[in-house]
Amino acid sequence: MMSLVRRFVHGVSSLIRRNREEQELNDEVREYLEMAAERKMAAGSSPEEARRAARIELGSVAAIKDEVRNVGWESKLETLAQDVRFAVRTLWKFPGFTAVAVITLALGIGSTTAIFTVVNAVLWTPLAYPNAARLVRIVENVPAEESITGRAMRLPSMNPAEVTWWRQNARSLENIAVMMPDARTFMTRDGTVLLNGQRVSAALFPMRSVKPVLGRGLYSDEERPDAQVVVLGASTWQRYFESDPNVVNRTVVLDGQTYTIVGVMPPEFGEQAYWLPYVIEPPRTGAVQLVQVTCLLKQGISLASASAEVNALGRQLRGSIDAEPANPPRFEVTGEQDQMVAMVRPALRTLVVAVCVVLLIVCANIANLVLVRGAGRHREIGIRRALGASRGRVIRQLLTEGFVLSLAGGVLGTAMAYAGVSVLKAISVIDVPARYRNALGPLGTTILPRADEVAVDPHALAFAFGISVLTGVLFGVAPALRLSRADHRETIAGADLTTRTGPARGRNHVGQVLATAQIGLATTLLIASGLLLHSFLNLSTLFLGFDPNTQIFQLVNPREYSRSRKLEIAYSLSRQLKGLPGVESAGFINMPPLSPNGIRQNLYLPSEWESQRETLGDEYRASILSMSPGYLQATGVRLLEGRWLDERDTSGSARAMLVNRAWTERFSPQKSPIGTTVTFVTTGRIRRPLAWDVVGVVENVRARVDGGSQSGQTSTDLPLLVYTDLRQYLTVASGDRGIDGVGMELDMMMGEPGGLSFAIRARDPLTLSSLREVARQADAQIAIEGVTTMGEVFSGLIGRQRFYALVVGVFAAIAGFIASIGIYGVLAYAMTQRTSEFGIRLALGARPREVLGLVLGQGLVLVLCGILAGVAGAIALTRYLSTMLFGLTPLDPLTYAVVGVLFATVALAASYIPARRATKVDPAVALRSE
Amino acid sequence: MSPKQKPTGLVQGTLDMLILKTLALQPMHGYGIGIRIEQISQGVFCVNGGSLFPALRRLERDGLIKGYWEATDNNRRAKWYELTNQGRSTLKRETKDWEMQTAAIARILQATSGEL
Repeated sequence: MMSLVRRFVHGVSSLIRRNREEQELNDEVREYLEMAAERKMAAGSSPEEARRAARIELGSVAAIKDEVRNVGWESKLETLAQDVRFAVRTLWKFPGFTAVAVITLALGIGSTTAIFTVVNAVLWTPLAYPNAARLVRIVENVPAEESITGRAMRLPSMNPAEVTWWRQNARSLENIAVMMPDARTFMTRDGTVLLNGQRVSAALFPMRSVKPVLGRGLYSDEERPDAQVVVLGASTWQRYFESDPNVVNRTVVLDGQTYTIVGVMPPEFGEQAYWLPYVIEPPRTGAVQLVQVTCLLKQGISLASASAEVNALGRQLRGSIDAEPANPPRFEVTGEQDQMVAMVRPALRTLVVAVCVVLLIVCANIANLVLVRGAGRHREIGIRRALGASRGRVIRQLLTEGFVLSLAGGVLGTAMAYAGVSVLKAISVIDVPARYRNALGPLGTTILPRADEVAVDPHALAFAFGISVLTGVLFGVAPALRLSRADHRETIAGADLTTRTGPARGRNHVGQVLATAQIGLATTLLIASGLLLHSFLNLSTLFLGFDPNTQIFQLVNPREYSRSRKLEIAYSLSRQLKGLPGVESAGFINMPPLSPNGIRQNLYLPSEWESQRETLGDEYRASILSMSPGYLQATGVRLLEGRWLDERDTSGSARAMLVNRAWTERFSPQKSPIGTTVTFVTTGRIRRPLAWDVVGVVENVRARVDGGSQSGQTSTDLPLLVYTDLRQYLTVASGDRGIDGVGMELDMMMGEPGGLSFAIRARDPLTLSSLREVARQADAQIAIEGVTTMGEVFSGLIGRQRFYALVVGVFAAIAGFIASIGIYGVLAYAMTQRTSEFGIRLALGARPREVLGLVLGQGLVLVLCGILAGVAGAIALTRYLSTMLFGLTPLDPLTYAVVGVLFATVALAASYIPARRATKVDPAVALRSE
Repeated sequence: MSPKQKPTGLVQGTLDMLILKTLALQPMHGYGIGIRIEQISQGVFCVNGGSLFPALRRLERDGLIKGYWEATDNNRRAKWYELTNQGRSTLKRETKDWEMQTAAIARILQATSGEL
């Protein structure tokens, strides 16, 4: 221990007194030599001879001093510093090489780090709750034959009526808690807003064990209808209650009802605006409600045994399920985190593999580049070895150079990863108003679950550092070994390895194969990304039928308002909007474009077709929409013929209807449908044979954006539509009963549950505050939600496709760039090996163009082989992309051709640089160096 | 780098012991140590500067010897080394170890087949 301390102190002090020690050592050695010489003189030699003999006896003074210096640990540090300084100087002398190497490394390390960061946060980091490992869900695997979509489904939700059953019977689970989305209006000083909260079981609070900011969570005896209590989210508390520390026991009015605040929960508990107790209610007819259920595995129970119990219980519950053991089991218990990330796990795994391949290619490339440069360094290294540097020392020096490069790449790469991760996070959540989220499929607005937890953290930084060091070793070792092997006697004598043709030429087979493989991989990736990009272009240039600049919002009424009151508010709001300066048109509709769900499809036939109704298939069904006058004008839908619906078409007047182009093409392709009488029928029997007069024809509008269909123009995308005036339709539908009576159909025509959707066409977009002001004048309790434009909604709905096109595109671009560097490296290496050959060729009269052709030809062979292999790979693999493509097949010839030609051009350009250098060989110089 | 210069036939690690022993007799400068070892060993061991200097540095670092600058007999300034207390005890211990080991080795080498 003592000696360790002593060594440390010595080391530090000698680092500080380096100069003095150096001086002392010099003196000591000089004295030594003097003494030795004196002794020899005393033995009879001449002074000169004596000095010379003494020197020879002692050997290299420099080597001795080096040896002495190497005694302490601090010398290692010094050598390192020296090597690093030297490496930086050397690299600085070749800015082109260094820049290319650092950028390539940065791309490799950056993309690896970014993907690691994502995978680490999404897949590997446990959820931020203390009981994370025990948080589970009950899921139901619905087989294809019972599923409403016709495909097998994995449902993580259940019917509320079943929750009690699970609570009473499941012995391996505890704290079975229900969560259900909930939205309520809330009055603030700046107008009414819609808060998005949750109705939850009280069990959720102990289960997540997150400490409240204020007060408490919900209690289980509060799961009853008359318990008017609410827990606020911290964001609501900060935003609307100015973080008032005395907020507990104050009241808050949600949807017109008064609740007592019992606590405030931090964001770790959840991002919701509030939590109300969930009350299990008897199911209402016609309303299918599914709730999310989360529970805690009992201490010491395994997932498998819980699954077994749950499956047995589930079969009892369903009763009718056959006794055959199903695979997968009907009911399963699965980890909360698994459930959350299951959908993206395969995609992330693929990305990990892709990124590792990219990193390996990077290493191989840099190794090649270092070798290319090393060819010119044989002499330098030979001289250093002749001067007494050991092979280990040379290898260490070369490795240090590698580390300096890879660390520089690592720093730049980490910066790239940081930028990349923030871009990834920004585009990984689709931001569209709640109304349009139905169109997004099972993952909803999430492209990447847990994206908010993704961050470049210490783990990621450590990873980046580790990967940089690893990269440094990977690409540094091979060149270091090869270069240090150089025989210094030969090198110095001028018989440079590189000028020996013949055996040396065949030596880089590995490099050539590697370059071809890289080009192949890059081609496959580029084609995949080309397909995704092409598909995205198809999507984003789709015919929409409406003006993307149309400003839209949802009108949300407090839930207790009657239908007639809601209607009154909507019309008065519409009138006021029209009266605002700069507004050209404004109106509302029950189902806006791009919100496919809830559209009822029925037969609205020209009266003369009625007899054929039995034989008409789904493609003859049309959707009926109800709106206020001015809505279609505000949305920018074109009127093709006839007239718009207007104030004339109210409850008392003749029933008037607009049809769209698709309807006209189906039922009246030859003659104008204006004046046709349309009858509403259902297949089978006429339920309410009501006649409507067609008064106008309007352009189609897109109802849905569906990335899955290959044709891109199916009937549901541009459906048959008929438009009616809302008041007129309600009068017809409710008959004499008045519209405030019961009726799901009426609710639907009123746009419930989402509310009526407004559209405004104005010279300048209205501001949110002016919209709120107008809304307040119409009714103090209503909320204006989802203020945006139709274009924004569309852009949001194709966000998933944009995400994939972007991520895959970035990887493909990196791979393409790196592969081009690879081909450059291989050819440049070949170039250095054949310098004298080219010199001879040129000296013997070969024209530069021929030499250029020789090298380019070699490059062309590599590039073509690589691209062909890549195309074959793409043909084999891109069919897995088919579900993600829109409006093209995975074998789209245009994409293949464009990618192939573009990439071949880039790769050939990369081989042009060394080829051009070959023509610049000065025969005299090349030959003399032999 | 040329191969490490070792004293002829000197068992690895024994050079340190020889230096300590030499210095135990009297303080000495580097060259003198080399000559003294050569003399005492009657020319068997020839210590070169190439191994002497690193060894001196190592011993000094470990606190077994201490260097100081002083005039020599013929009025030069040279770096002299002397044994520290720690060096003295190390020498004693190593000498004992060495004797034990050589005795053991000698016994093994002289062993007859009967003893084995």
